[in-house]
Amino acid sequence: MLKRIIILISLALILQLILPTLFIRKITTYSVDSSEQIIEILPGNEYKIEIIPSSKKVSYSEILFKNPNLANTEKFYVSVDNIKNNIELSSFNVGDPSWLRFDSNVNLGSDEKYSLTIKNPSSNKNKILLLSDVQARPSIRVISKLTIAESLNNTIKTRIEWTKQTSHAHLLLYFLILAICCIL
Amino acid sequence: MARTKNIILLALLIRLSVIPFLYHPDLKTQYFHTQFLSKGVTNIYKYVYDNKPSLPYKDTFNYTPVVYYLQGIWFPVAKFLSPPNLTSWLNNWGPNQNNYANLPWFILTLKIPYLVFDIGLGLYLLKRYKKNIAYLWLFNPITIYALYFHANYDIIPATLCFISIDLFLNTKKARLAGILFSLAVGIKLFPLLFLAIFIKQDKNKIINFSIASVSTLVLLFLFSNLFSPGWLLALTSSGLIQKIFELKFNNIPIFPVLWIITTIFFILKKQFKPYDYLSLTGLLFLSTITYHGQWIVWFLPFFLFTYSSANKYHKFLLIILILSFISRIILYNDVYMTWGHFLPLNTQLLNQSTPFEILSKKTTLSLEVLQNNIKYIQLIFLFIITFFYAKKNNNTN
Repeated sequence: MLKRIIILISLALILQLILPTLFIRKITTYSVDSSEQIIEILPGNEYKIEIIPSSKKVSYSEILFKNPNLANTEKFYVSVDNIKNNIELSSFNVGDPSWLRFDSNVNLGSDEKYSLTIKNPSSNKNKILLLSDVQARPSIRVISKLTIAESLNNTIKTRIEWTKQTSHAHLLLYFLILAICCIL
Repeated sequence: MARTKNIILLALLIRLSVIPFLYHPDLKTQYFHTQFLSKGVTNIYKYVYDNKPSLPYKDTFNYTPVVYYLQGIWFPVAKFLSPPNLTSWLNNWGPNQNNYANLPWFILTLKIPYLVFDIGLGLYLLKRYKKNIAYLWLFNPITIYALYFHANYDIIPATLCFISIDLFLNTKKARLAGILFSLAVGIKLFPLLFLAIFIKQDKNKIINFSIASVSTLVLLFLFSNLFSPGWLLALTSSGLIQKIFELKFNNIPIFPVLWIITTIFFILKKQFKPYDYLSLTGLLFLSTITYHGQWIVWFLPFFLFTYSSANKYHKFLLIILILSFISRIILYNDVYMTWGHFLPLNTQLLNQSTPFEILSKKTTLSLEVLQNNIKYIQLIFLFIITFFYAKKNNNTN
């Protein structure tokens, strides 16, 4: 019985705490809701997307998009402002599904946010269709790096939150089955 | 007896402690379709075709009708055992589809049939063979990875196929073997790769086996719409049919040619043992085909026999196979090969870089090419070792 309890506790620790802490090294937040999946930008105009990162340590931001109406040679210009250290100004070719990544490695202040400005330099009215990620969320993603301590904290918080929300009857039944397996 | 109980309980405990927290989207897609049996839909292929625009998940049902009925029969039981919103989760393909606090319980209840077959096979091995074979099955990480990380039903036909072959080769129960074999074929087609096993025996056994298996297949055909055009389309576009012709040399598909040669050798050569043939078929398959992780379960029980035979040639081959299996997991750019499986613990795991992405940043090598090269190296080793093993066997005889 003792052997089984030790195996069970070790597995639970590895699975519930150690593994997520080791593997979750970046946290992703999304800044656009599904109603804004298509962004229309008139010639010469700008489109501003405000991003409020959940963590202060922004690693990079990504826009996953496609625009079938544009020729490969045309470009949108994206700038990033309101940030202590300037994120490198980027431009990108438009064509097939693609993504744009802003490497940033900056620490934001407690209530700081930043915005992306997308400019359409062509004389045509153009649209960007934001692609959805695996969870069907339109993707302007803000990715923040986590330290091991932050990751552990995030894991513990997630587990506590889950324990509060899940079906308590099933949780109890599950523990009961595990206990029976240990005792028998 | 007490020792058997202890072993099974420990195996059960390990499985139960991980199963609820391992997810693969295939589990959801399969049960999304099979839930319609409890709503009276008997031809799922036609139903999907007719109702595609209104369905939240648009893909076709790519499995056999027997799978539809098996999972469809289990679904109401799982629904009874689960928290109330199982159906809501199965039909939610929107942005919040993974944000269900009860996801681990849905996963656990839907995977119970796999657990029954997995532990059942372990018990069967414990009762009929040396304990170390059963231990290898029950406590081997590849078994757990292939069965529960990938959450596919391959364990059901694999168990039926293994027991069928075992009964046929080692007992007089050829009829029961025939029934089990046909059930396995009805669920997945891979047991057909082992058909030659049933040819090299005495005539009475072959006749009994053939009558039982053909009758079972006819019954399955009659009861489960096997002739439906949708099923034929699903069959021809299935992963197995497509992948066995994928790797080619001078436009000749490698696996079918090598497998036919091996099978002819097996039929003609008396000293070619059945379990060696089964393992060799498995090794050939896994060396020449870009397989899904769970497909290794088809051959795993036979590999365990080969491994436990303490033959150094086989052990060496199986070690290469394990390394290649690990490389298959690492060198494939899909988060659901690695940490994506742990989504029920934290959905952020889906957004972490895959091992493929991490390695790609650190090397200029093409990882796809590397994976193919590993396959070729594995195949070369397979040839060399088989040659030496056959030579040694010939000398012994």
